[in-house]
Amino acid sequence: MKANYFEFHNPLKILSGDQALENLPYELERLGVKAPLLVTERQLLEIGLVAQVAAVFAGAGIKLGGMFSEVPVDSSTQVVNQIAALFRELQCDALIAVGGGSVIDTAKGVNIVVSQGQDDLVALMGAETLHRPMKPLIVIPTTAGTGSEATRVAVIADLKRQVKLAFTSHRLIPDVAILDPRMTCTLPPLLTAATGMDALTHAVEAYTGLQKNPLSDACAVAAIELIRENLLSVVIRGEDRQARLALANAALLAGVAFSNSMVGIVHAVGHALGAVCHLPHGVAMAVLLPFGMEYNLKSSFADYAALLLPLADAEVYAATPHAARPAAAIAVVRTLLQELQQQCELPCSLREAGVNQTQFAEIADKALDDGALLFNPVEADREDLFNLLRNAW
Amino acid sequence: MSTVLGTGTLPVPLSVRSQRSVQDFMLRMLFWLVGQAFLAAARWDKGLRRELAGWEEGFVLRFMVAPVGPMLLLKKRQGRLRYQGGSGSQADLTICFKTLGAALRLFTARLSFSDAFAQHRVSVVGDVARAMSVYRCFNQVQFYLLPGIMARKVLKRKPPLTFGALLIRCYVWFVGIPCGLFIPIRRRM
Ligand SMILES: [Fe+2]
Repeated sequence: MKANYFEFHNPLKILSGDQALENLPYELERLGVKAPLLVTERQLLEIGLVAQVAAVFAGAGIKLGGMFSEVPVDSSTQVVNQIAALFRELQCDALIAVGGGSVIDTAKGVNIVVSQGQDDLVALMGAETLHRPMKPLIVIPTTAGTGSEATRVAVIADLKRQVKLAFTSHRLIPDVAILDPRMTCTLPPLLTAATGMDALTHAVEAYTGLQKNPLSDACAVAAIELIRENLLSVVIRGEDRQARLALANAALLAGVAFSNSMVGIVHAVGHALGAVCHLPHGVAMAVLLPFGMEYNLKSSFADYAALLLPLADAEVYAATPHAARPAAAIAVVRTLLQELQQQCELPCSLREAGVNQTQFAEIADKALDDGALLFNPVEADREDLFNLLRNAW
Repeated sequence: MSTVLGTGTLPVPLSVRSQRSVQDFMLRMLFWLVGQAFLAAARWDKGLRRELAGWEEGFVLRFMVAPVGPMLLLKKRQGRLRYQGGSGSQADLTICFKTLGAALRLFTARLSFSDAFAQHRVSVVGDVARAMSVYRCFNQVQFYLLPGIMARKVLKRKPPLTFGALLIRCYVWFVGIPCGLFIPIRRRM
């Protein structure tokens, strides 16, 4: 722990494992919900995942209040307002989000609009700005990475103003997260690898950030161990349900960790890469993580030394002298990336990911304004970010 | 026999109340001091000027203590930052301290800006990207206001004290802040 004070908030009820989905009606009833609105994306509807969710309502004495299945890849205020209007029209009283990060963030955005009595999301952006109670939100993630099912954060793009609105509030933490292996088993290898690397980055950055605390540390370490044991095998054998579930647990744990300890430079630059070059978040995380770790190496020496244990294993940890552990931890991440690249062609450099060097200035400027940088243990100026980008290219 | 207290009438010892008033007064002074230092440094420091250039005309920045404690308001008017006094309900970005103690610790360089955020001592109402710009500005102002040994404690990275920086530091302390005493607050919009 870096400070003499910390706060930890995680009121989330987690249902994780086989047949977890079947508990959905029970949870809705427990929360006093009569007409939940299901928010999802078209693709999940087409591959039948949403039908599996709808099936649990059969004979359960509770009905869906409605469904919105057109959430785009990047959540925006426009879609949020559209869904909020539907929510009011259908007189819904809760939200069920089935999908990845953008669906979950969209549902959080809708919840802000329908609960805070404020139609303009811009007026509410910031940290700790939501003062009214929210509607119940149940999240069923279909990717194992963003951890949004457990976090106090939502990012929604304002397409008109060309800005990303960031919201952080304990009120954004969902009420229930349902991790069911059936929900993530259709994720293709490349997406599995990328979202898995996102989760790994959440855990590593949460463990080394300024806000770290004993509870977030415990979640981060547990998440890293699960990712080490399962990520590569799931990319190779996607149908392995136990491993899929382990990865979903890891993503959630990493989400709890970074919701209470924030992320750092890798996310600051990654968000900027997403905004400027539309690089998928997980791919940006995979490419940048080792370089971000190198950047923080001096200041986070002891933390990286400790992380070698969950990143590698006890044998490797014991055989590595203390002074060599941080470098070894970074090497383990690089090895994992190379193995993932062999399996599913996950890019290992910004060049492979299609980023143009002429965009570096814009990316660095955007990254400087990212809130995550505040929690990075080492200060970074424009030139540092430029160097990091150049190294990662 | 039990004593029944009326709502909200828990007795607060006089010593605590007077200590609170002293802290309140100190913070008002510190808000004023930092505000003046900010204006003075922003006249000469290139980095600060670059940051301010990115703020839109009429932008109001407010530091305050929740719920009704002391305030500091700064406004960008005619391309320059102006001191707007210690009260106001309208702001584009509000950095709100949850307690008076936290604000005092930040403004007396016993708590860094980043740690104030990391320890949940503040809430931000407004654009987080702009809050990052304020963070960079505030660090720079602290660099000019504080002796090196204190600045090192609260800045993640202390810039080198070049001759130019030394001149700005002298300007802040010996011109900017004293002049602030004689210039009335301009409240015109
Ligand atoms: Fe992430």
